[in-house]
Amino acid sequence: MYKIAKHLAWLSLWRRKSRSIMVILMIALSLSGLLAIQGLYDGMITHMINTTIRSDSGEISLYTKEYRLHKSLAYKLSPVSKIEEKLSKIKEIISHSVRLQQEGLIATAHKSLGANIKGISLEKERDFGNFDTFITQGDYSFGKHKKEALIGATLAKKLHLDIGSRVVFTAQDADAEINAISFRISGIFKTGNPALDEYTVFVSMEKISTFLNLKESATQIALRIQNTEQIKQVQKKLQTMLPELEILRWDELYPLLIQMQEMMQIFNLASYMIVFIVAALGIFGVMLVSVLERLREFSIMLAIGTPYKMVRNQILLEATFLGLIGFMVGALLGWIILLYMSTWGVDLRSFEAGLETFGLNAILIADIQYYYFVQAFFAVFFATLLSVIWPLRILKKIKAIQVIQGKML
Amino acid sequence: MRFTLALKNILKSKGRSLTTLLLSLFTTTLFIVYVAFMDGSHHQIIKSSVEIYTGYAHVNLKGYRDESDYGNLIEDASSIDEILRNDTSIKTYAPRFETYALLSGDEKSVGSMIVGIIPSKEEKLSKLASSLSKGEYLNDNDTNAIYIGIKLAERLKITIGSQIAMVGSSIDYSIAADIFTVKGIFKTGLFDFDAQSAFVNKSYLDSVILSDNKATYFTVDFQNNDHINKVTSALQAKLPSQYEAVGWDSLLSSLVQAMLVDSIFGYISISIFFLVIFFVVMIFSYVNIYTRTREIGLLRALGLTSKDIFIILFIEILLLATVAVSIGAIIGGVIAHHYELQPIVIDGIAEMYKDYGLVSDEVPMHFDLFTITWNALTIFILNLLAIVYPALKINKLTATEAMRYV
Repeated sequence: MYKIAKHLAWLSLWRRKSRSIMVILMIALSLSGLLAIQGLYDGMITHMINTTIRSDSGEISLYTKEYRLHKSLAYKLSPVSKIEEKLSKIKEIISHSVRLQQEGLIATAHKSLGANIKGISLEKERDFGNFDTFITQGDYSFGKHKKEALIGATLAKKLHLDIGSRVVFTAQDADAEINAISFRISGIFKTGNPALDEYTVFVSMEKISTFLNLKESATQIALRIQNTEQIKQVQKKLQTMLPELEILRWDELYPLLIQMQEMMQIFNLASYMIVFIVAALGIFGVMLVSVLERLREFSIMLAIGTPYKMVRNQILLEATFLGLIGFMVGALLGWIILLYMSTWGVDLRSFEAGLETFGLNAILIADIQYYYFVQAFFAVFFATLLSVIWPLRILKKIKAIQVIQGKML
Repeated sequence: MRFTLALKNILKSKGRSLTTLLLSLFTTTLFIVYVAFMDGSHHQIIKSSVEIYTGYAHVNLKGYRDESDYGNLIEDASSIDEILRNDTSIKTYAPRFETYALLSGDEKSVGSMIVGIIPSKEEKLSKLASSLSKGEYLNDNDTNAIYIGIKLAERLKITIGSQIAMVGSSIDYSIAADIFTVKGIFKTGLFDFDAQSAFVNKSYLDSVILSDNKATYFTVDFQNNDHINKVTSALQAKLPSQYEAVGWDSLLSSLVQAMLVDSIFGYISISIFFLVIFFVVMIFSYVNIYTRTREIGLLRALGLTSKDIFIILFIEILLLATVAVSIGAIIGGVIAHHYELQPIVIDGIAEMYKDYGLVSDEVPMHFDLFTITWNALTIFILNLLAIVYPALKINKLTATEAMRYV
């Protein structure tokens, strides 16, 4: 009986080809659009999170408890080797980066700007987050004698610096004395993290330690964790192991990113809801007419003993076929668009300056997640179900004989 | 007759007409409110940046925007001052001297922007004076008094009366150093600005960095800032050729572009909704027309041409769309106007988006008749387009085919 219902539903669907195609197109185009937008927006946020983790916070960062409030060298992590020794005992930590930072003034012969100087180890940063891939000009190197520096692209642009340009950085050392240090630029980097690109210059750990008159010290130790699921567990372990330190996850350090991600999820969900409630109205229009124009046909079926269940199934299957075909076409189209956008990206170089304000690259790379399609399937499924409630109610209420006699049409 | 027939058809299929009408009405309202909200937040961000400090236009030496260093200063500020004073289109103006120096408190040093201003003039040009949070604003007789951003004060761990040392560079590139006393602390809400800026009386700063009769630029407020390109072009004509007048849209080009990008994403998001609405209206029109196929066949048999049928169907959607879009535009306009005057307050949004220049939790909508008109017209045209396919399709049937249609 189910087979007959299925067969009848399929035939009915193609009896009115144009309107079935219209519904399928409506579902497919809106679905592919929604999938593309979801993937693009998710990709933007994921990119921001990834670059932030790779270039700065890691999954977890360690500071002294007062440092983030005062940003003063008085609140440094020291001795670093002892902390590193403790970190080596946690197997979930796959790499770490020790950084020493101070605020100050960077100056060329013609111009000065406020900036941060950060001491790092290039090898460690490479292991930590492939920092070398952020280099846009010059080399990923501090030179033969470790006397050169890497500078953020925006800061370099503001100061009109090129590879080989000389700059002077002035800052207070650990003894509160004003010191100046001079170096040449060996490389320019662009991470997409405005705090680094606009304000930071990287030098070797040895050089900054001498400049700031500090040994075995750091202001931040950032950690990379093997699996995302282990982050909270490692954080707890570290809190027990190093109770005197502040142990923060990336989402605690950059709450805006996680808030943006949550907002985007709400936005996507709301978009699906609004679009598919309206889409349900479209399917409803077609299903209602489809039922109304066949009332006589259904009445005859009911009058000769066809159970109501079978007629109901036929209507339900008709709507399901529409939804399913729409979903398949839309998912395929959406997947192709997402595949393109995740492979080649969306080139928005003409809006580069604007995108940089948001910490985004000029070429936006979309994300593709399995759950997008599951979410989309349920949205289409519910829209389809919603659309047949009213037509089925009408069908349930009809008096077959009267309809056949033409008294109830 | 065609109009009467169209009207009768609308009234006959009440359910479908009402659904189409409500859908279009809802879409128009939603579109207008959505755009008003988006534009409102963008306008607020840009307005804050313009009015708090940047100003509506700058006059500077050509090349200063690309290389804002001591090599591109206005060397004879008094001559520019005279030109601006004699320009009746200018309400008020003032010279500024922007430089960067290392400011040091007892414990900490921070590289900051130090700006020499004429306090009395600046009071009318920017929101520096009204953003006073602690202490006092500067006056024209102040010497080594400094007016500092609240976040910068926190970074330097200083308060009113504290002394801070400045080490910078004079315009002859010699070292310039002085001690300043904190006279006032301001809070504009612009996060970066509050964390990096300090102001001193220009006449005193001139003596420290040897910048007498020099300025990095003049900031200008016109009598009418609505058509900034027009007024800056007019001003440009009065300036010597080595100087340029630059409007706020060029001064804040990155921010303007960021808002444009945000708007583009906003329009892309809402376009999916339009797509569905378009299809729904088309489906309803299609269904509506096809349930009347026999009737249409009869009309054709009675002598009406396919053009007549098309016009009847077009009048139907025209009437429905006109009513729906007009009511939607009025409702949307009223909502936009109301929330422009009484902005929506989203607690914590300024803190959350401080890096993007949002200074207040109040997010006003932007009421603009032109925007509302094009928003409404978009929905109106979408409605009209939705009828084209069903109308063309039904007209393909001959009168006999239509009358036999089941």
